[in-house]
Amino acid sequence: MIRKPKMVKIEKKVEETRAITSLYFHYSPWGFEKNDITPSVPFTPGQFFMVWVPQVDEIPISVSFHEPPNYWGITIKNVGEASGAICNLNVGEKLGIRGPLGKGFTLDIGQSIFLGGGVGLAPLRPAYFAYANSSLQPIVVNCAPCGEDLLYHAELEELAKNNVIIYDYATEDGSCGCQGLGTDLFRQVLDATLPEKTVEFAACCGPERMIVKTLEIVERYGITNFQASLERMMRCGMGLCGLCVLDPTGLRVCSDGPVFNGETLHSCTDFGQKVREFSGFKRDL
Amino acid sequence: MLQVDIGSLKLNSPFIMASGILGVSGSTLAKAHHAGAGAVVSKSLGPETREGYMNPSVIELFPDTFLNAVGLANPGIDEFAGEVAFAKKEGATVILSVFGGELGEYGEMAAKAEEMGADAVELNISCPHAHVSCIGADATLTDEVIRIVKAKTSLPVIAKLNPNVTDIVEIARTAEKAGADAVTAINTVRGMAIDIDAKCPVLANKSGGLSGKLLKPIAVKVVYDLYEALQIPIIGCGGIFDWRDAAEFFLAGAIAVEVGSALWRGFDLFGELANGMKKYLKNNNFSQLSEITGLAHRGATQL
Repeated sequence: MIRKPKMVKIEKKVEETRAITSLYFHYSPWGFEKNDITPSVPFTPGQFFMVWVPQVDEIPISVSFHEPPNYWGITIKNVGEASGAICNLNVGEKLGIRGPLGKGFTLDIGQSIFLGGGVGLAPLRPAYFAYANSSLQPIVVNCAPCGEDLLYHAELEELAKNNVIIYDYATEDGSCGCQGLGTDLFRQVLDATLPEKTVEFAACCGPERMIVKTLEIVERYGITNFQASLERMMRCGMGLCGLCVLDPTGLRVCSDGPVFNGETLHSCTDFGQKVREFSGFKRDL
Repeated sequence: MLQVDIGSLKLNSPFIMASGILGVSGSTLAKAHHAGAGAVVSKSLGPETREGYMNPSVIELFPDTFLNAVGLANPGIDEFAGEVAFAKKEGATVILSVFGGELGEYGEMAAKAEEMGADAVELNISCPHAHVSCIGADATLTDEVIRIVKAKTSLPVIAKLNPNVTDIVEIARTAEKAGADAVTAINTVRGMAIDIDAKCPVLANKSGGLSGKLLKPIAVKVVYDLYEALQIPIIGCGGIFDWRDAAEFFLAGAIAVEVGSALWRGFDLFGELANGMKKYLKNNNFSQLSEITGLAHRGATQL
């Protein structure tokens, strides 16, 4: 794979919430083109693309859907110029894709639980979809400030109805599901689940402070396999520029991550504390 | 076997982490050191915080060949003092890459580098997609900036050369005369990639610098030419991915080499380079790396 942007045509657009949009397209990285067959690009849930809008910017976005060999989806929250430009693209328009990049989740074959906060559910989606054909029902905990912000809510309800997953959700204002924080609901779900089942694997993505809290919870409940996806400013996305490095370990979020296990997160004093700006200037999270 | 001296700077290994690659934090500098790097060069630091260019700022053009225009993004030299302290505490030999707006600022940056405990300074007068490249493209300015820096610091001063010039040997000779303790050859080569669907340059800055595999033959040729013209040590740089690449640079006349783009794969490279070079020296009946410096200038060895 050559990590150079390739322009792809948007084939489907889903406005998920007021601020979150999913885009779907066919894409094979440079170096993966063949005339006769379309080779499947190796992909692990949790990996990301660098997404380019010419004349605007290029930013890292998690892969939220993958259907081999080469149909992909990304889910973006409109929070600024670049993400706004991506959200405003329509079917038939083009954007540049580079990747998939980074190291994703190492999925466990046992009972799993996923906690997604806001758009943080996006990289977890291919992970819990990976269990769809198994007898295991992953538990998905979804949370958002209010009901209108709950990502993939209808899809998750449908999956739960078909017994593919067990679905729980919370909103801070109580407008949909339980009222409260995702981490509070996560704890309640564990309380209800653990007497009967052993949870082997917990995965989380969302605001970093939520990940910090979730790691504390899983440790209290004795779940040893915890993995979380982090977000940092990136330039190269392939381990060269060092902008996304976590101190003091020197681990690169773009290539050693973005998914890290609990033990690794503990060794990074930057985790939950510090981020680097685009200049390399380090500031409090 | 692999120890080298660059002026007063003594290195245990000739393999140095190049500037611009991963050098934005003390933790990565330290990590490269622990992996076996003889020295580590920081990201280029200037007087104040600089955002650099927007993305795309780094892309891959061919496998292991990259084009970048980061634009001297850096937190500012003062902000970097803690990072140097961390890397020094971990035992790294730290070469601070510095640049300035005015020539005088290079002197101030070098003085600050010495104050914060750096072991040497490398002058970035060659970044091909920023204003500083005009210094390294002009013999008079090169002479002036090196004299300014030498007057401000007692640290070894290394000039990183700009390959995007008509006669790099002339610039290198000027640097030597002005008092440079060593030169690094080469910085990236100016380049551009245009997306034929978007119909515009891919990099936000439009043009950038080419690094990685494709740079090697260009860099080896420069080192070969410089070896015939200079007395001061030459640090080779450009497209080193394994010990064979490094050996080419040593045979061309480099006494040490910097590796950059290859580090995307990880830091194990430093150990692999050292092991490979030791084996190569042993298999060819040499006991010291210095015995092969510039050997390619003597013509083919009897096999």
